[in-house]
Amino acid sequence: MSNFSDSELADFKEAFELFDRGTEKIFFNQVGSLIRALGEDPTNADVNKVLGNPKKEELNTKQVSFEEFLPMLAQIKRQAVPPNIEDFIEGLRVFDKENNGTVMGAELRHVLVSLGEKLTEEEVEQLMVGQEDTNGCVNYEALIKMVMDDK
Amino acid sequence: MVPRPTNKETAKGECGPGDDPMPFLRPTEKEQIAFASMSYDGKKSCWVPHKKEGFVRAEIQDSSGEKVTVKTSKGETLSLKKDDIQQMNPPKFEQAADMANMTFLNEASVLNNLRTRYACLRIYTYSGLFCVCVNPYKWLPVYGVKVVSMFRGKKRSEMPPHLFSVADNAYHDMLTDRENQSILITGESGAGKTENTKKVIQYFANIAAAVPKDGGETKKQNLEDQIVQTNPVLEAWGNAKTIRNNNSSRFGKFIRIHFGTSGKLSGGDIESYLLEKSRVIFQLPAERGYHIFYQLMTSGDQGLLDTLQITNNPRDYFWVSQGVTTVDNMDDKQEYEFTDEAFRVLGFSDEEKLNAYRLTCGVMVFGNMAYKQKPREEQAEVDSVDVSDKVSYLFGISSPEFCKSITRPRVKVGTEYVQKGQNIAQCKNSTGALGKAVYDNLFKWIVYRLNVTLDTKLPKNYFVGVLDIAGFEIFEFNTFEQLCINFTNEKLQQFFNHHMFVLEQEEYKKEGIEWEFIDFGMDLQACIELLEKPMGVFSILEEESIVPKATDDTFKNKLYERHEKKSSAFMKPKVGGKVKSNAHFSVIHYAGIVGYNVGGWLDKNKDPLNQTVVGLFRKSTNKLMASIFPEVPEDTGGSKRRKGGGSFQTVSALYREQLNKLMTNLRNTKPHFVRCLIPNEMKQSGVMDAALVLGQLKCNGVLEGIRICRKGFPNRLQYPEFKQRYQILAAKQVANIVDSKKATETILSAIELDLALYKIGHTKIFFKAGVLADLEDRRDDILAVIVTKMQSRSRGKLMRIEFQKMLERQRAARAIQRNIRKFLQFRDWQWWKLYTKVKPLLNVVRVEDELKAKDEEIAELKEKHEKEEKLRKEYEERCVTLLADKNNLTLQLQAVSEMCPKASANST
Repeated sequence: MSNFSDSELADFKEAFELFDRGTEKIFFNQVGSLIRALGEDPTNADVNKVLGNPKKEELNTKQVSFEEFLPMLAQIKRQAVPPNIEDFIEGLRVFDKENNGTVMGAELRHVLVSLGEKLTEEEVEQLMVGQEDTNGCVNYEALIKMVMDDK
Repeated sequence: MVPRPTNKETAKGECGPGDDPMPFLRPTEKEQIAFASMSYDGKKSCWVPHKKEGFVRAEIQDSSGEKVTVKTSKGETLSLKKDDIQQMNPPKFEQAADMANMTFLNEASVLNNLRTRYACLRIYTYSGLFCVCVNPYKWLPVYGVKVVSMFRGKKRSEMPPHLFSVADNAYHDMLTDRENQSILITGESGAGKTENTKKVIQYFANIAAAVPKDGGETKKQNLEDQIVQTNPVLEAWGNAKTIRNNNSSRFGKFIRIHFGTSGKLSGGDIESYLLEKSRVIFQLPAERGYHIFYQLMTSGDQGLLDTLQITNNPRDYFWVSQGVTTVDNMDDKQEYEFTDEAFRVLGFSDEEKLNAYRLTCGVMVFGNMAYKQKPREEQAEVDSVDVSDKVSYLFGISSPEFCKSITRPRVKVGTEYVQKGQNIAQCKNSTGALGKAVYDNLFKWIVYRLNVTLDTKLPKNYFVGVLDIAGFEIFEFNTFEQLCINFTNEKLQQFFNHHMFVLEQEEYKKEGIEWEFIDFGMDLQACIELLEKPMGVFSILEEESIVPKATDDTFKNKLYERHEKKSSAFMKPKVGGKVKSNAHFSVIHYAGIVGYNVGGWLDKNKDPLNQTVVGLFRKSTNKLMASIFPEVPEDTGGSKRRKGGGSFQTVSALYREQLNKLMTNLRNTKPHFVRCLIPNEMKQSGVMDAALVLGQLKCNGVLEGIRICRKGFPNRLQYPEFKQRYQILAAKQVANIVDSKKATETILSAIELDLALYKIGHTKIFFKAGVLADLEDRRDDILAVIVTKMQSRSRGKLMRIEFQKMLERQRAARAIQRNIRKFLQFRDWQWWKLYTKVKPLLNVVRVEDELKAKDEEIAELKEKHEKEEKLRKEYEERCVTLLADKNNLTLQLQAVSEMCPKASANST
């Protein structure tokens, strides 16, 4: 069993129950969300790995209990590397053609939905709320700070 | 992505949920295995010419002598010259996605590649920088939202060839380079230009749909639907069945789709070119007039037919029934409904729509006007008052005046107007010209009205223009219209050549790259100069059009005088030549030699109209009619006045002006080329006529395009741009290098790129075909790592926001549950019932709060009480001790006072 304190376990359990729809279990495709809800930022690949690389259709059919979920969470927590703001800024600077700290919102959206672990249009839409100025430019440091801010 | 409502356009070629587009885009794995096992010997396998199939596979038997002996796949043994044999590509290039990658690039290989792909209905193939598309003659499930999302944001190399990839790249280039784009879709009639154009536009409508405003603004039509829905309307008035094509666009168009800062749609506009007016009044036996006539007649809406005063039988109307009246696989009634629906989506008012229908039908009925000669006079008069009445009703003018204006127009002689009698032939001519003019002006109005709808007030940053224009035409009889179309194509080809070849090589020179100049033998300058320069064919025509006594003959003679033996692109037909006896002069176009007949050119160019009738139109009670014949200020041009601008402009001058505007527009964009091919003339799916296709490949520069693409360095970047974009490939090595050229070289050596694959120019770095795509892949791989981290963080962030909401919802739910549970426990308890009954009577609102307050009060009081108790005890205790003290003192006092009398007695 993982080394979680009782109060942590109580929090996890509460969260788990929020996702559980009365079966005392949650579906594979909810595991990532629950882990994220509990403060971690795993990649989709990380999540898939702790699930044992299931097939696509298994995501909607297979389930895990709270006891099975805990070691998954523990594994993600163990692997977690604290994110580095500088890395992110460096990554977005590639798109900063004018070297003025901004990137085109349209291009950024395009990158987020087409590269890496693609976000959906809806996710990007939520993320970009209020980030674009009237010229469609995004101050990427501000954007990253918003994403990094965990309050 | 929101699925668009199914309509006429999106339904075609829609890839359903159960469909897989991939088999129509690239060979399956199984096929690829089969290709790999094909017999091939690099030294022996070859292509040899074949009369019917273009080229057939063959194996070299003996090549020792002057001639080569081969055995063909048809079992024939042939002896051929070495030059007649073309090398065959290894099987791995079978059905290649990009023909520029093939080891041997020759006609035979290109034809084979296109043909084998087409046999499997893989209609899209790349050829260097452009996309070739063969008309499939049926709808393949390779379009629609599902396929759009597959191509969205993908690089060309990631996906099989597709028009969507061209469109997506244009969109992507627009966003990253911040530059306008254009997609030029060209090809012969029937090659599929218009359908491809529609699919491109649907693609943009899908990926860049404007974000819907908050709130249920569903009633208002969205822009992407409107852009797509312009087509049914344009097609109804501008398309017709021709021999080659059941839905042939009889006009050219350039559609610009505008995007705002966030890359979302922000508007559109359409420019139309030269509608084929003659079709309004004349059709060849196997052809038909514009769709709208037949749609209205078969609408099945008797009320509408009554309003429009027409029957449901096209044969009742001469102008629309000289050819066929139905088209295979086209349901005019349904098409009518699509047109009507499109009008609704586009926000045409009922009045606008009905007026457009009225004018359309008026033109159709007008064709039945009959005239008869007055006895012993040259003067004609109207012999069909009923027709005149109907036309006048539809046009919103007075019938008697209409008849009088046609048969006795007022003409200006000197400073006065006089009535000029017309004979039957003159009346008929005038009728045809007026019918065509009303229809043509109506069409222009429709385009104008569509633009009003598409002109949103949203900010427009960049546009992608899509050009769909008729391809080169070489008929038995070629006239003015063909010259205009062929001239346009000549200009477009020049633009293409210029872009691809001339600019390319000039750039190498400028950048100091070692390069041997290649003459691609496609210099179109001679032909273009012949046509457009001062004293060229068009100028002479325009000049003759204003010379009072000029005729087609004087025009022809001027042409000979000016150009015979002086221009290398001009030819006078040989006297007594047996072919093309109807031609008066020939032009050497890039696509071939075309003989033109100049009969009627002056009239066509002047396009004279009976101005007395036009005057009636201007005052029409039909608002639309009055607006398409606007008032023009009187000027010296006399009867030759034309709408738009006071001065007289001939048809060719107007057209050239439009063409110049288009070319200017195109030169300010980054072009993407789509070449449509017509595979055979029998409209047969999967069958390729070798000669027909080879001819098109030669004419449209596909072969030359591949050649330069492979020889040259098609991709180039400015050094700062390269550094900015690719420094991430060698971030550590270039961290401290400021000079971008030096940084570029450092990056390239760090990633160990083969020196033959790139050239270092003065200001730019040049790459061979495919190299940049590879660098782009590497860059994406690195970026993907960082982006993935950001995405993970973003996902986490979004999830936690969502989770917070879930928690709050949960807490709220619990509170409700708790109360309900309590209620359930209480509700059968008699005291509770009593309580609920009594409760309204009790003025107790917040019991709990009051209880709490009371509790506090009690606690406070208790505390106070305890304190006082304590104090009281203290005081009591003190009281006891004090009392004891007092008693003691009293006792003492008593004792003392007892002794006192003695003492006082003693003293006294």
